[in-house]
Amino acid sequence: MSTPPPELIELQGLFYDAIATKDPYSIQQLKPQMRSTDNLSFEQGLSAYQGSVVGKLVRALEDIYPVCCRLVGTQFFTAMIRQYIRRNPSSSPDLGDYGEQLPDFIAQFKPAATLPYLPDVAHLEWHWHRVFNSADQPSLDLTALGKVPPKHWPDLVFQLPSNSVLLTSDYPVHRIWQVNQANTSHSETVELSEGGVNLFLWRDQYETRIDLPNASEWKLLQAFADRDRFGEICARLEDSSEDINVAAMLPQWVQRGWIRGFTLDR
Amino acid sequence: MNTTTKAVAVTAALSSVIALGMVATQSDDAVAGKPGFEKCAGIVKTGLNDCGTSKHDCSGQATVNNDPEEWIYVPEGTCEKIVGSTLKEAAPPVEEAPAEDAPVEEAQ
Amino acid sequence: MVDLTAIQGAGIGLRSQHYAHILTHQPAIPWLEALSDNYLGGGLPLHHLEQIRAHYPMTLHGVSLSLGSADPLNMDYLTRLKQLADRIEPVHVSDHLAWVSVNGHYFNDLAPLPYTESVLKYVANRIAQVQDFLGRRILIENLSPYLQFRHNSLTEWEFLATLLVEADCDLLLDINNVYVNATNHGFNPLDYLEAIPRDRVKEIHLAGYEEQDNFLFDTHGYPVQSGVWQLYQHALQRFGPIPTLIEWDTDIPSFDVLMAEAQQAETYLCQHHRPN
Repeated sequence: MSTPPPELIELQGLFYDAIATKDPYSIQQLKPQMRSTDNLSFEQGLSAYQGSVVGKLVRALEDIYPVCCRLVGTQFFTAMIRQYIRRNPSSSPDLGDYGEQLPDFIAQFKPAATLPYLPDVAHLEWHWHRVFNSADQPSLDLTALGKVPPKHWPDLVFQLPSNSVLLTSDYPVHRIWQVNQANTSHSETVELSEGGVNLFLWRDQYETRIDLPNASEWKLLQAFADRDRFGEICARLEDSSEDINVAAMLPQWVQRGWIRGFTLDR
Repeated sequence: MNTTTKAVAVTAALSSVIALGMVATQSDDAVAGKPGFEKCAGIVKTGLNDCGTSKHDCSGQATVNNDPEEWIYVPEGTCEKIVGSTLKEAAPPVEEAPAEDAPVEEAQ
Repeated sequence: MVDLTAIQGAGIGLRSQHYAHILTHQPAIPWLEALSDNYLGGGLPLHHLEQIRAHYPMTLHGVSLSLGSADPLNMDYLTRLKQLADRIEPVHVSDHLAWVSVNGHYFNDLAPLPYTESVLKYVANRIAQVQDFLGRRILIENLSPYLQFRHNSLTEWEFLATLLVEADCDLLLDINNVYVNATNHGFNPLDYLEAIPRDRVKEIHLAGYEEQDNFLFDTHGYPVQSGVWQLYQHALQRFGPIPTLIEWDTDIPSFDVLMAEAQQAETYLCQHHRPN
């Protein structure tokens, strides 16, 4: 029998709404279904669960977004994420999956408007967290690549690691992130006029890295991220005014682990 | 478009990559020559999931059902470290193409 | 040479705060238990886990199977759990007699079940499905719920004892939870132990609760309390020297504190032999 008993479906729906959304009607409906004892009343039990469920999500977001939390202070941060939690129920068994929409929420959150760089810092923290915990990636299969006939080489589409991210910000978010790590000195400041930045987040084996690609590297990264055919990339970049040496960069990137796979687009 | 340049670049790139598969040990130069952004190493994140224990809601019972008071929303963290203009800065210097509309762009 | 395929004695729950200590000093702990949910991705956490596994017998303990949920089993979660188990080769895989999700929304907290015949059949069937999928027996652990359903037709221990047989699975007996429940819900904890079939108990958990108003709150943030140690000794009398784990999740102390707790459990374990 793998069909749930009807009373279970109903009770679990009520229980969830009473605890996670604190819906007054559900609480009222649930109460006669539950048993109080001398030591533990229905209200105490309910409150213990309500607090515990929020407490876990608060702790998860504090762990995923420590720099944002430091920037605004714990009081501001907790007040903000409580509002986020109320609007965004968890939909994964893994607490590490919770909080992906927080950067967008911060961007819309009026009290944070005085810190315009905050959403970008949050994006950086989210992706850092995801890259850090992601599954290991296989390296490029050179044997399979060697079997592609040279006439089809222009049709190759190279793939960046699936656990890598290109991030662009109008602010020096990498520096903001750096001076707000738990172990950095308190005196260092960041001048916003340092300007914007292009960042490449990836994993070198077990080490999560934030790299600052130069202009040529960034153009090539974007081209790979857009899944352009290799022949088109070479034609576009080698002919461009910057004179980007794709032929020299590709083998370096393969060795470095920036290219992990390929497909043929014929 | 210069088709010769294109063909030469594609051939040169692929020949070098496939040659990588034939050398026994890979050179570390490509990585060593790329220090990247230091300071990322050595950070160990704590595990987020526990064995199902109960948690206190440490974030203040008073604010459970109502939006917190205005005064809570005065940032008082390390944001004082971030100085200078908070106006939108010019597009990244390396980015000569038209500036992106969205401040953050994701790929993958 | 340590046998990495079996557990005995008093182990400690592995937490990321102690990776460095364990890898550097290789402390003399008979076994470790890892929280499966923290290793379903990869990278450094899984790398550390594999390094530690190479030196210690290990079990995997999870919170998200949601065995009692009206939702279908989460096959993505189960698949990732199986991949982890195949890689780590744990001595046991365990989760809770609980539900954590409904309509695709997750509590990320363990919620209690109504103890009725129909729910029992449903959960037994789900456990059997999980065991089939994983290709191994699992252990299920008793909770410390703060709410109980008024229309239960069975006590928790009656429900559990029958479930173990119907689902043909084993029990991870949390002595702290039995103690906390007995206090919060008003029953004799010895009645609970007495109802549990002897041959199904494969692991014991110990942890510290805290007092809140007039009930006990299961935060795993304190040393094991004296009442729990006493109940533990009753359990050892009934079940024999079952491998025992010290769990600590809130305000995690230095490894030495956990070692001292494990030593205490080891002392009690040595006083009991397997019953004939």
